Amino acid sequence: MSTNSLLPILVVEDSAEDFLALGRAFRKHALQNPVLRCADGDQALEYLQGYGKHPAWPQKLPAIVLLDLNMPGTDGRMVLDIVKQDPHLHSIPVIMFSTSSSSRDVDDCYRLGANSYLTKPISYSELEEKIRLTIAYWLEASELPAFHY
Amino acid sequence: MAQPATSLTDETLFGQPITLTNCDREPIHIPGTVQPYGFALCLDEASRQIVQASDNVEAHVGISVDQLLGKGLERLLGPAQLAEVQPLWPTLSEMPRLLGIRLDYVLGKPLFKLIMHRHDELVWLEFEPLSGQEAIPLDLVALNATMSQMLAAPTVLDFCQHAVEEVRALTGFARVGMYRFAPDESGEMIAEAKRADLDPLLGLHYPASDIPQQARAMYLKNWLRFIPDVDYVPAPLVPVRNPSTGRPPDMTYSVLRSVSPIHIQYLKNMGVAATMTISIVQEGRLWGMLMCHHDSPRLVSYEVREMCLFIGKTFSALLRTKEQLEQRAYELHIQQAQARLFEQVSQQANFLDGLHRQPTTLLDVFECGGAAILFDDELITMGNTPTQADIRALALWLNQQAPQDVFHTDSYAQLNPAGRSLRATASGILAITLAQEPGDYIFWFRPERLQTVTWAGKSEKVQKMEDGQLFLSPRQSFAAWSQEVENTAAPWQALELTAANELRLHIADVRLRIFNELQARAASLSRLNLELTRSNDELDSFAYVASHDLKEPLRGIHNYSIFLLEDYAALLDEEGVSRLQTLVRLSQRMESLIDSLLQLSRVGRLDLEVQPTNLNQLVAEVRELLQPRLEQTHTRVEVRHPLPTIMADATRLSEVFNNLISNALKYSQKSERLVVIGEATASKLAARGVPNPDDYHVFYVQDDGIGIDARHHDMIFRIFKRLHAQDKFGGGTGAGLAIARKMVEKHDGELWVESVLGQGATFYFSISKLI
Repeated sequence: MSTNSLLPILVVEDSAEDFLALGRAFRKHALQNPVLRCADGDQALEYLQGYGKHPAWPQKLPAIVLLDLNMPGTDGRMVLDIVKQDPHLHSIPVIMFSTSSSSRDVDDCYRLGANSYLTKPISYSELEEKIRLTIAYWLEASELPAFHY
Repeated sequence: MAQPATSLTDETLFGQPITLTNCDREPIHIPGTVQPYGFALCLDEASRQIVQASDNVEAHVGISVDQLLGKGLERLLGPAQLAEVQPLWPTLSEMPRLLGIRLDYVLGKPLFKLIMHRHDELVWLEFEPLSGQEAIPLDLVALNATMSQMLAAPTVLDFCQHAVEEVRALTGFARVGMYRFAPDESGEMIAEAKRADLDPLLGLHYPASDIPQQARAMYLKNWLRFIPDVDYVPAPLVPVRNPSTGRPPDMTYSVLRSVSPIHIQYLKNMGVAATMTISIVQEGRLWGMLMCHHDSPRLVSYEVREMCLFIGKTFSALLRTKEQLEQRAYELHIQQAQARLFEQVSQQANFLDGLHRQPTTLLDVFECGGAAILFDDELITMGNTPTQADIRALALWLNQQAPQDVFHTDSYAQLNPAGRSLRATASGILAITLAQEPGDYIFWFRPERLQTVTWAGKSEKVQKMEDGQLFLSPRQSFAAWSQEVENTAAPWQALELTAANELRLHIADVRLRIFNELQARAASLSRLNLELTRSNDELDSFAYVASHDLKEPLRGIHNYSIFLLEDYAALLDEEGVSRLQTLVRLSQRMESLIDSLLQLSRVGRLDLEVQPTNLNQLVAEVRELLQPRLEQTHTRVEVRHPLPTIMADATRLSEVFNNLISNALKYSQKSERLVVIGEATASKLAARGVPNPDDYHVFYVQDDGIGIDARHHDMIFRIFKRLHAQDKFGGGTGAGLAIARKMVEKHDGELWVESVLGQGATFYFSISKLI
């Protein structure tokens, strides 16, 4: 296991049910990293852009971000756009996680700089499989950028 | 016609034999002879001496010409008569004056009528003997009644009829007819009063050449001609030339003037022995003639002739009013028919219907044989018209002429030789244009007049040679005239042209109104279209958003069911577990339904990526994709004939083929299945009423499966519409055909099925060649 395991994973997800399913899948695959959840885009940006400023918040940037696309208010698309244009944040891998399989949505996200795009399956077993693959790829197989905190 | 007679004639012909070749130049005003029922004396204006006398003077009064020449009137008249005559000298003009004169110096000839006029430097004295049985001519009561009738006559024909009957009653002629001249100077007998035993001449036409020009000119000056006996021997004036002028005197106003031998022959050929004609003159033009004929010699007294002349002049004076009345009546008829047409045109959805489908049609507006409407390449005919092909050819010919809103001719053949073959129906043509661009017309047709004419002298011989002399008959001139009026119809009147133009303007108005309405409708349509496009877009995004938003709670239901199954299975009995499993299955099905909806909405939203697509390759790829299922279902796919390469969106087209082949192998119970793919002919589309079938490719996918009942042929293309239970024939959401149809429609094509239940199904789809 790489040093990535020490860093938190940020999940931006407005749906409690979806987050619950995600958490279950993470546990199933014995994810070691701490999992942080933001329930909307504004929260996520507040954390990412202001990390270290607020004592109650994690002092580290996440290893990867799982970003729901469609959320009320500031949606995943806007968060992605801001993160990828922010010189301090743009190298963090952002994995889009959405119900939409529309090619327009997929294309838009990659154009904005998304590092991956996963569709949320209905079937929980499929979800488990996708989560397994994601952990294996991004947290086990890949080298992630080293941040100088 | 108003030219002096001399210009029309050749005075050098005086005294020469008149033949067929020179009769049109015969100087009829200087015959140098008189009819012998009376005698004439010519007195020098200044000296009042007799300078010429007809040589029959001796036969009438027993005094020879020699005894009269160079003498005054004292030789014939006593002092009492001279006293009556002499005061009239200064008042004499070309108009004849009548006196009752007793010739004192001649025994046994007690009373003559003396008719005097002054012309050509002579004073003319013409003597007519008084016949024994003359009645008092002036019956004012009868005349008054006649005038009343003539005044009351509603039409010109009635008017003529009253006139001829009155003249016949007055004169006792066997036949009195009204002869009317057409603009081409041919004549027609339009009214007739006759003795019962005579054949009617009513309705007969006479060629213009029957009355030579110089005669017409003379008839305008001297309104009454009288020949009591055509077998007369002309009595020459002695001497023949006026001694002071050295030329034969002008006898235009002479009562006794001898007529042309050609005319006498003409009358004899008709079996006429005595005749009187009275000119009907309108605005200086010879309108017609009152013709009186008798089959035996008939002397009509001068007073009765004067009376007839009076009727003729009255008739002439009233004629204009009568014609105006009649014209007004026709005008009124046209206006009423026009008004009805206008109303019909405005009421009908299609203005053309108002012109031919309703009680009043184009035929009712004018006196015509037929009418036609050529509009937007559609040809509608009414009445007697040329053939459709002929009318279209006529329109093409008109297109090439200088543009005119109203075209008219009374002889189409004269303008276009092709018109000769149409003369029976369309010698006369009146056409109005219906559009700015040539091509759309309304036509009225008039038949050749020849077809409606009964010719005078039909049964008579053309001409005959008798003692080396040539005799004329009306028939002779018929041949010449029939040629002249061939291909000619009754001319179009000014008021008809005006009315036609009004009709044209009205139709243009109506069309403009329709056009404006159409434009307004088109504008509102495009507005609607815009709204529809917008709401279509909204529907698509609704479908997209709805499917998306539906999925989220669905996923929750699914996941929680799974979690329950995983975490609490031990606490549930078998039935509880089974129900949770059903919940999971239903949520999965719900998801596939939502996916189908999404897919359909995407097909609608996405633009095609059109490129040359090799269908053989495309179908091969689809087959490969379906290979496992084909093997599983023992299905053989055959492609009949090589498929073409067409312009299409390859991805969507393979989805169409995929869908149709999948269906083909799905809906079958056979152990071995056959699917045939091929290209159909455009006639398949033609049979469906598609306007330009050649603009499409048509393909088919045929199976030998369970087939589809005809009543379901439309239903199967509706989204989520299934004909069978979900668990039969491999399930599916029921969106496949709806999606396939939408993809075909994106290619401007159609997708449809032909099938009989139990006998397999063939799905056809067309792809436009123009995308």
